Amino acid sequence: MRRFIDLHLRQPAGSSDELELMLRFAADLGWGGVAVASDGGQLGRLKGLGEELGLDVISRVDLRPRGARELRASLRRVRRRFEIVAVCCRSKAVARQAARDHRVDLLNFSPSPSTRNRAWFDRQEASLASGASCAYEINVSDLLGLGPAAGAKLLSIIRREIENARDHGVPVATSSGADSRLLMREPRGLAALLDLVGVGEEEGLEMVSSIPWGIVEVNRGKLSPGFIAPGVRVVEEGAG
Amino acid sequence: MPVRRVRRRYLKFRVASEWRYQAQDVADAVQREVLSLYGVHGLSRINPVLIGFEEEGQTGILRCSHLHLRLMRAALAYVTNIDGHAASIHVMRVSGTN
Repeated sequence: MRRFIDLHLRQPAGSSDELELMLRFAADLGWGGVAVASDGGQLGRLKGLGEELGLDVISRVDLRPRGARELRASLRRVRRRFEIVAVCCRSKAVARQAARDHRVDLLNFSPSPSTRNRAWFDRQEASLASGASCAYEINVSDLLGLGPAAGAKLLSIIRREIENARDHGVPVATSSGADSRLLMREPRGLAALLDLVGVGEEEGLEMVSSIPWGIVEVNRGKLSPGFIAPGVRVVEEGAG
Repeated sequence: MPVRRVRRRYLKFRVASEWRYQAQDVADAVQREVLSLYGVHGLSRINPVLIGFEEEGQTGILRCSHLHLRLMRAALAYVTNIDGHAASIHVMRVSGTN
């Protein structure tokens, strides 16, 4: 049986109770895990609630740097503190730096079609991401509630981005990007929405299950105490 | 001459919102969303029909063509408002015959 994971729940503005309600709703909708983008302050409490609900709560940080230097500094600060590091690429310089940096897990782009014309997941970006094992992330909340013209434009861009990711073997993860319960969707509903950007049923389900789980498992391995380098870990300790 | 039976899928769904809706509001929202995403041709192929809606629990059952279940799910997931108020529709279960 598939285990579904929503890699992106955003901190709702205002009440912290809403985040708890969102976790309960996620468990109700059939998610096995959710990544919560937060500053890390209330993560312990949320993980405890997740255990109660049978929901794996994953720590995530969304970086929104203004330049490549700021991105590198932020990555040094957060990489060992969060299980998932995502970069919102608002400029080409940031996008290029993020795609070639091994410390970045997910790349996502502006929900605004006009901004996305400047910085998007083009072929060069896909090629760099492929070398650094970054994944490309689609936030479904970006698509919801848009008017017909903006919606069609964004769908067209995302369709081309997915083709670029496929051509270069870059994994694609699909998340809700929800900051309220009304923007959350059940796993199969989220996967079905990918039909609008030319993704088939099986591939869509992978994008909300095995692909995001793969990213989380690799990172948990890296954050575990025995990790030395990729493929190298402590197998026995002691003075001999 | 044998007649090929039309196969259908039945989707049990729940509406999440601060508001409470009546069956007609939900039926209109579903039809509007299918039309907006797939046009008249898509609406005729998917052929969504609201079989029933329970106002108390805000749950209902929709019927659609078995060939277009995924399109139906996508249209339901695309709903962000019903009758002008923020809402979402979640499919809880799907049934049908092989």
